[in-house]
Amino acid sequence: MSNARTIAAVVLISLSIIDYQVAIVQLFSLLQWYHYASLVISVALLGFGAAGTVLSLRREWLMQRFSRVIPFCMIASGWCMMLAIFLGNALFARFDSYLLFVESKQWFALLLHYCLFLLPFFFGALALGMIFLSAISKIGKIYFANLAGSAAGAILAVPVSWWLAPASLPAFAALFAVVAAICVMPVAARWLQVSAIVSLLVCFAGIFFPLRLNYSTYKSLSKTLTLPGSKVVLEERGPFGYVHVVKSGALRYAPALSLSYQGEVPVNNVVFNNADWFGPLASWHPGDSMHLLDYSTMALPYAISKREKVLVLQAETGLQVAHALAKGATKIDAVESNVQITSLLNHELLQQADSLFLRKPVQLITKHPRVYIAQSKESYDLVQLPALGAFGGAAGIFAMKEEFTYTRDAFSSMINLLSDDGVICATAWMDYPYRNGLKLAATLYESAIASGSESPHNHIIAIRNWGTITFLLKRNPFTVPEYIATRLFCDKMGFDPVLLPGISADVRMFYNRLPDAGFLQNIDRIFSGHAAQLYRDYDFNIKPATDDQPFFSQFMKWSSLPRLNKIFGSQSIPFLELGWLVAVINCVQLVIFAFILILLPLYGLKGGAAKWWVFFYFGALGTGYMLIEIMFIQQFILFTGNAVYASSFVLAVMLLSSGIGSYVSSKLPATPATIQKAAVIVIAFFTVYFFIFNSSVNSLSRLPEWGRTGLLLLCLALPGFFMGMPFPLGLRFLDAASPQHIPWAWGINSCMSVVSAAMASLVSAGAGFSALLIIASLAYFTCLTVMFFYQRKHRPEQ
Amino acid sequence: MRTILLLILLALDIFPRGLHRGGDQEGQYTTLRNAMVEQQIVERGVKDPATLHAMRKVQRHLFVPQDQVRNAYEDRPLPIGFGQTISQPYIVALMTETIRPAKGQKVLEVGTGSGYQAAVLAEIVKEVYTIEIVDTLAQQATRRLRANKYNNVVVKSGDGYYGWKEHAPFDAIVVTAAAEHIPPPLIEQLKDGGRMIIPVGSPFMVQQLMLVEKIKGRTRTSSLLPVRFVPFKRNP
Repeated sequence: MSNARTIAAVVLISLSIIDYQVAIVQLFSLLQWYHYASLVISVALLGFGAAGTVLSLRREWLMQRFSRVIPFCMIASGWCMMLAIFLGNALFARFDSYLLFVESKQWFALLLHYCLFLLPFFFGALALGMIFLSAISKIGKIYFANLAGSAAGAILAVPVSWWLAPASLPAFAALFAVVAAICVMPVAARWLQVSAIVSLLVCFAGIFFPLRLNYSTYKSLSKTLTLPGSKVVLEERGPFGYVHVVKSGALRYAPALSLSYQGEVPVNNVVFNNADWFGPLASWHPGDSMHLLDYSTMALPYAISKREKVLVLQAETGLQVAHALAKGATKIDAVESNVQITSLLNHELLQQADSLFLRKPVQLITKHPRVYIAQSKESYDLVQLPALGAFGGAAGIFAMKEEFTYTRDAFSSMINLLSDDGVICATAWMDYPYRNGLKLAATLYESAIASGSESPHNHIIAIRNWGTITFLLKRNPFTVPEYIATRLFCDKMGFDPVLLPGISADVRMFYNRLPDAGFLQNIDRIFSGHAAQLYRDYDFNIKPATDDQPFFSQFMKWSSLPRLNKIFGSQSIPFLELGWLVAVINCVQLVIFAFILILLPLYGLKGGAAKWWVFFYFGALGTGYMLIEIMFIQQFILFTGNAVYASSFVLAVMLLSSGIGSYVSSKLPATPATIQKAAVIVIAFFTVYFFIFNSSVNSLSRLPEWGRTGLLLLCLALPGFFMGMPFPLGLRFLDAASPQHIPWAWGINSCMSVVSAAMASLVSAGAGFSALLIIASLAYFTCLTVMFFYQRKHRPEQ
Repeated sequence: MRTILLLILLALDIFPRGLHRGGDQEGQYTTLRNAMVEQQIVERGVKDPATLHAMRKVQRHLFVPQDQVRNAYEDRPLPIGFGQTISQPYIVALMTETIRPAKGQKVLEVGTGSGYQAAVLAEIVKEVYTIEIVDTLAQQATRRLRANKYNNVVVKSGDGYYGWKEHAPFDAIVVTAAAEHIPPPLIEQLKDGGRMIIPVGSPFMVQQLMLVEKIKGRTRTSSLLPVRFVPFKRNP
């Protein structure tokens, strides 16, 4: 087998595996929910570890049949990529994540999905592992090809999601696996050649005639399509998700409408992203001065003062923009990061959306709100944010989602954009147990203090109705006429004032009674300076989110779990904090599966004490690399606008730079000293990042796009280059010291990478990004220490 | 091998529950139903005799899909297809009690679903008008209600947003399919002094109920805490 063909095969199979990962994330986000993608993928990635185990146990048998096993594994990987989707979509294996905690049979369906999705990674990894093993002396180059292929896959994932429907993506990824097999196909293996040709044909069929997908019946889109006369009028694919626009005679949207409203709620077409509700197509006709939102708590800023200049953050489909137009705003800046939706609104949906974003006072800005806030030099009379949470509670599905717009730091920056009479209007859906409203109150309170206010209660007012609570934060203290206007507005609409001077307890629950006074008492505790104590005592995490921990919707506290379980019962807990719970389950299951698939079978391997340093060294490398990768992806969502772009950018730059590092390392001696130097440099980079981290969000956002991209590229590529060295150097070193442990080392590395990926989101949500940096630094420090002790122990022999 | 296959099929819940039914089926269901009322409903504080009588009488297992019959009397909601659920028995009882149903009343239900809530109401009040937007569910519920002789229930397939003007005003309205706004026509069709009840939140967790009361033309809402909850930690 020629060197060039092997390298090409490594590039292609690596590309295929990465593209397949992206494909199943997109498919699961569409058919189920994003968390379940992580649940399935994490276990599937353990296929890498399982391949390492098989390679360790059957090394001789496999290596003797090297030339045939390699293309076979690649073709098998391609087939399994397509079969997993096909069988997973079939009736007998139908899995509905919504019922996971309700019906026990769903756990079997989930287990079946694990098995199905593990196989493509297992076969792909087995082929890669065997190639690594066959060329340890050239591991730097092979590893470079592996990382470069993965980087190419990450880059390709973005345009492919524009070109192909989600159901075609697995077949597209499989195509590369089959082509990789063709690259290393032995001339004499006729049956392999025939199967490669058949596989190619099946791949093309899968791309051009994709499967009809079955969405969970509990997805918003599925439910909407059961309404009479509902039909999809537009579908659009892209990296931000799969968009459906649905027309139905029964779709009306009026968030927490006042019960005093007596008109008709109009029918709207609705936009769904990944089969989840995104927003109604807002409309506005010149001359309309009344808007449905006038009858919501979100109308408070307009009820107490005229707003000329309005900034609408996360404009979505433009409901708040239409409201601002109706209220006569003369300048409306609408910021929305989802370029796919904004493009649709300004082109295909232009008529349906009444050309909302093209109206004269409206300027559409396609950026992440935080980037715009940091860059803008405007001053606004109103900064309007969309309602947090969802009607009836969001069931914790956003718990692990980065929300940089709702951090304390973000609100502090927003205050700087306000005119003298300007206000920030932030609304949350009321939930029970109380979480969103309290955390929002705490965030605004702390932001006001951070901006120099000595008496935040003079700068913040709040009102509530049966569904939502709206807070206004004003740069300067509110005036008496504004307080009076607020009371009048509440009386007219049937709303209750929550934070307003001189109101009695009765008035705060006159129109809309709460089940108990706990919500109002806790709001009062926040505003009477006892917030810190409340954060400690309350059963949920209501401490404001920060740029270091931008997870506004993460409310879970480990310590409260037994109490919550007692109150709500184990079946209800998943629907309170689903995202968090799934992340925990993910972590636990990975540890169990890793034990079963990787550690247990290898327990009997010969090698004794040598295994421990291999375990720590390669395990720590996997941990450190993955934690940093995840941390950067979570951070970069802010600058790129969505997770697919962020993943693509971070993976491409890090993998490519690490690949180059690996290539360069092949020219360096594989000694403990070389490895230690690389680890020290990596730790030095992490230390610098740790100290500049908290100020980086605003500083980077202020830079022009080219400057920011360049700087981010450097921030990733420089440590990435050195992070690419310890693994191939370690393998070469192991080859000289204890070659039988190479597959084990590779398996451990893969296993810890996957476990760390699952752990990363829990750590960042619970302790912040800086904690990830510290753990990653400790991981590289472990590598350094392992080498130090190994060197000391073996010095006499050397 | 066959045993393993059988175990897998059982685990995947493929066999219809009907296969397990024995001779004294009705007696078993009555026992289960009575236990449901005592343990899940009375113990949690529902006291209204009419509601408890109705809950004891309506055969819940006849209102769930075939594959859920064995779970019919469990303390949880059950999926009925189309992304819909039949509510937890306790929630049905609490909603019924909250609207203070009485003989001679006329009640509107928005979101018929399986027809179970309508059947419970029909045991107490004079007339029940129920609207279901998913046509298949409306047809299924009509068949079930007819088969069980609930002749005082009228099912309509259509959009509940507009209520049922021809039969308005109603003494009470039960909105089982809650949306993020309460349709103004429903408020309009509620009698003065009437009560409207709406469950809020995921059907798979113990839901909060919202009560809307119309008093002298003005509406007020109350969020009701199902008694299973205990108040949240406030002051240490």
